[in-house]
This record gives sequence, C-alpha cells and structure tokens, in this order.
Amino acid sequence: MKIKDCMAKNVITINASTGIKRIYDIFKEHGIGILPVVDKEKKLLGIVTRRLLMNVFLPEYVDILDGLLFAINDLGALEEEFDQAPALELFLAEDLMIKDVVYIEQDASLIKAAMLMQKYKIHNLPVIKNEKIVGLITLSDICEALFGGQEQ
Amino acid sequence: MTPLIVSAVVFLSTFYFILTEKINRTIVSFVGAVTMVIVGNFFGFYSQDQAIESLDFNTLGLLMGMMIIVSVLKTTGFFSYLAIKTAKLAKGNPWRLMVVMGLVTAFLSMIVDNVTTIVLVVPVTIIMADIMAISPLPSLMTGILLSNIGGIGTMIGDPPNMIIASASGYTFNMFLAKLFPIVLLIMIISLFILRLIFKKDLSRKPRNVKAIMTIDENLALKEVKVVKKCLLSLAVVLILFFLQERLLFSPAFVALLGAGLTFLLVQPDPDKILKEVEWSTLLFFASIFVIVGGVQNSGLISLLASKVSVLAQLNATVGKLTVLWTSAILSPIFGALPFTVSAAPLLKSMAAHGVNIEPLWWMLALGAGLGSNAIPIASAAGVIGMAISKRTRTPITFKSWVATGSIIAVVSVFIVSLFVWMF
Repeated sequence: MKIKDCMAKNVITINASTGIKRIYDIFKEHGIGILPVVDKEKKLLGIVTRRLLMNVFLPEYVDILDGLLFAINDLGALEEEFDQAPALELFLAEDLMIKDVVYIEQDASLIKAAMLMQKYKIHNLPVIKNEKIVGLITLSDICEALFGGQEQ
Repeated sequence: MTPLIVSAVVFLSTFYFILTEKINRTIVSFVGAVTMVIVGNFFGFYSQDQAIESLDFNTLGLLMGMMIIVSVLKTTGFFSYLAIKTAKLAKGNPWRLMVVMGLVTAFLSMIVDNVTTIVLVVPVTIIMADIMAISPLPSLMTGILLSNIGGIGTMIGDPPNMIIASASGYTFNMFLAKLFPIVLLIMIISLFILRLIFKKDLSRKPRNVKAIMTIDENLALKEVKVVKKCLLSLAVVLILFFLQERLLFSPAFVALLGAGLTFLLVQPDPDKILKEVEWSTLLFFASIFVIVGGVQNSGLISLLASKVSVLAQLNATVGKLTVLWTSAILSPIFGALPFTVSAAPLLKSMAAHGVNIEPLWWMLALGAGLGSNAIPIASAAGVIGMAISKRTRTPITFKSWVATGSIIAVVSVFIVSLFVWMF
C-alpha cells in the first residue's frame, strides 16, 4: 500500500508569520499533532508541534540539565513568571518551527513511513509531492491500514 | 641555515592558522606535523624516528588516563550532586552562591579538566539563579574564571602544567608547594574584585529561597556504586601522586593505572567511555609535539635559547618577569597549550647555558594559566561557558568579558609580578 492511499489529504497549513496564539487555537480546534509551515507555493518550510509550542515557556538551557531535573520539584521563579510570560503575540511560526523536517514522498510505501516514525520517534509525517505538501500521515493512519483490514 | 628557516616557516604558518581559527586547530596542527616530518626528511634535520621520539607520552598518557576516569565519573550525576550540595550552602545569598560555586569549580578543576567541570557545574548554577530570580552572570563568570585559575594549582589541573611536569620532571607535591598557595591567594582576591564588579547584580534580593532548600541532591545521583568506585580510583591516583618522590612513578603511569583500576572496578562499556575521551585534543597535542620537535631538531630552539639566556642571566627578576608576561600575553593569542609545548624545550635548553630555570617553569605555568582569562576564546572553559551562557537571559558577551575576565587576568598577573619583585 502506498502513502497516498491512506494519508489525510486536507492538510491544515500555516505560513511563517502565523502567530503563536492562532497556532494554539488551530491545535485545539482540530486535535492535530503537527502543523506544516508552508510558503505561497505550498512548499514545506518547516513544522510546528505542540511540544515546540511549549518551548516559549521553557528556558533555553533545558536540554543541558540532564539528570539534574530529577532533583528539583519546585522551580521557583521559573513558575511564577507564567503570568507575565513573554508577550506571546511576538512569537511567530518561523521562530518556533523546526526546519530540519523528516518527510515522505506520496509514492513511498507505508512500511517506510512506519520505519521513519520508529527511527525518529515521531507520530506524524508530512507527505510531499514535487517538494509541495499534499498530505499528512499519522501513526494511527498506519496502524489502521496495517491492522484494520485483518478481521478476527 | 636552511633547516632553521624551513622549520621556522612550518612552525610559524601552523601557528598562524591556529591563530586565525579558519580551519579546525586539530586539522591545522596535524597537517603541520606531517609537513614538518616531510621537510625534515628532505632537508635532513628531522627523521621519522625523531618525530616519534618527540611525542611526549608522559603528557599524553596522563591526559588520557585522567580523561578515562572522568568519563566514567561524569555519567553518574556525581558532579550535579556536588554542585547542588554546594549551592545549598549559600542558603540563597547571591554573593555566597557566587563564592561557593566559584570555589567548587576551582577545586574540581584542580583534578578534573576545566571543560568537564564547566559543562557539569554551570547548568546547576544557571538553574539555581533562575529559581531564585537573580542573575546567573556573577556565579557563571566566577566559575569560569576560577576554573582557569584553580587549574594552575596542581600538576594535573591544566594541560600546560602537565607539559611542564613532564619537561621539568617536577613532582605533584612540588607543584602543590610552589603554585597552590599563590593560586589560592589569587582566587580570594579575584572573588572580592568580582564582588565589586557585580555589585549591582549581587544586591538583588533573591526570591524562593525555600525552593532551593527543597532540592534533593541525592535524586541527581544515578549510580551510587559507580560513584564510589570512581572516587576510590581517583583517591588511589591522588595518593600515588603524593608519594611520587618515593615511588618514582611517572604521572602518565599513575593516571593510566587509575584508568585501569576504574575499568576493572566499574567494568563499563569501553566503547561508550572511550567516545567521551577527547581524541581530537590528544591528536592536537601530539601534532604540536611533533612540530616543536622539528623546530628543536633543526637547532632553532638552542639558537634562541642562547640569545634569551644572555638576557635572563643579566638579572634574575627581569628574567622571571619576562617569562611571566610573555606567557600571559602569548598564550591567550596562540592557546596556552601550543605555547607551553613550544616554550618548554626553550626553557630546557636555557638550563644548558647556566640559567637557573626552576623559577622560570613556575612563571610559565602561572603566565599561561592566568593569561587564559584575558579573552573568552583563550581557554576551553571560556569558550564552553560562553556558549552555555548564550542560552540564558544574560549571555556573556565579549564586552562583558573584558569588564571581568580581562581585569582578573591583568590583576592576577600583577599579583604574581609583585611577589617576584618582592622575593
């Protein structure tokens, strides 16, 4: 089975200048995991995930804390500052997005998508045709395609 | 005459490329080393065997042995544990936090390499400051500067000291006796100067002191058994270093023995541990040794030594001050490590001209070490510390370094000069 047979074709996309509040609303409204960021020609520039959205509230050094975080429960001032968090409107999709996106061609096989998801520990893959985004495939789509057809 | 010129050209062009930093220093020095052997063979002043002989295995082995022990220790969370425990001693007082974090970094740097110390202690400093809503900059800067100063205090604290130990044959205890007291004094004076510099930041009232006291450092420790085994190996290494005069063990042998003991006790996955060893640093070292060996074999160093010796014999104080300030100025420019490797054979051959070089070795160690605080890129601790600080709200800039590190560098070299002048 090919990717194009089981991907979602109506992809919601945003552009580089979409604000963070709007992004949050889209996530909430559609219950999706990633939002592809595209240019005018629908070319994929990057993706924004729910996890990336949270980074606005986290200090940049979080990834070097290593085992240290196990020891700390009360983060003091870092928590107090939520209310006065940096002006959210200032953050745009282009500030948040990852540019190094793992994607898949629409004619690739399903098992390749499953392999990519396993290797990169991700649940969503943008689907591409001639560099333009044409769909989105999720882990659930693949599971459904692989297990759904097999009646007990 | 040709060997002199050819070796000087290879040496100077290698140092030029190290200085410009356009190409990675390990690649530059490796190419330089190979070139030196080629031209040495061609002009007949440096054979392949002589190149191998010029590799100072005493320094390389010492460095590698210590790197292996630390690589095992750093996976255990011990450094975070130690840093949290120390930070709690400050009881939320910003000035005291700066002092204890500076001191813990300094004392760790005396045994462990500076980069490891910075990478593991600085995150604790930063998050402590963020929890208390104070600026991390004072503790961060103090940690980096004191790591460079503290490393001068022991034979194994800094690579330049390791090179000096190997070239001079001085023991661990001699380094302690000659360098530790003055290093301690410089550390204390630096702390008070930094207090003045950071007066505004330090006067901010910290919040959430309670949150600091609820941190449980024991939860940062991942493998208590491994920690104990590593500390045992380190203790054995230190004891053997203390007994160096009696046992006549070379530093490299002691460190490798410690690495062997760690391997035996902990039995980690060697591939994983060896990945943590900084092979590029070791290769850089080895290459510089080969290059300087070429210069030495061409006769250039003994020629220079005979000229410099005349100066040094005129007046002992002037000789000492010249070595101190030359080291302090040139090592930030070329890197303390290549500078020391080049200066060591020069000092050695000055002894042949009747100069008393013992005090000059200590001047070299102090100059190379203290000078590395002058600019951020002069020390590995500075480079790494600055990179980490970029992730905080108050990154260290070149400008803020000049207002702190450069001042500390100049003042500390002046303190040493004062001692030289008085005694």
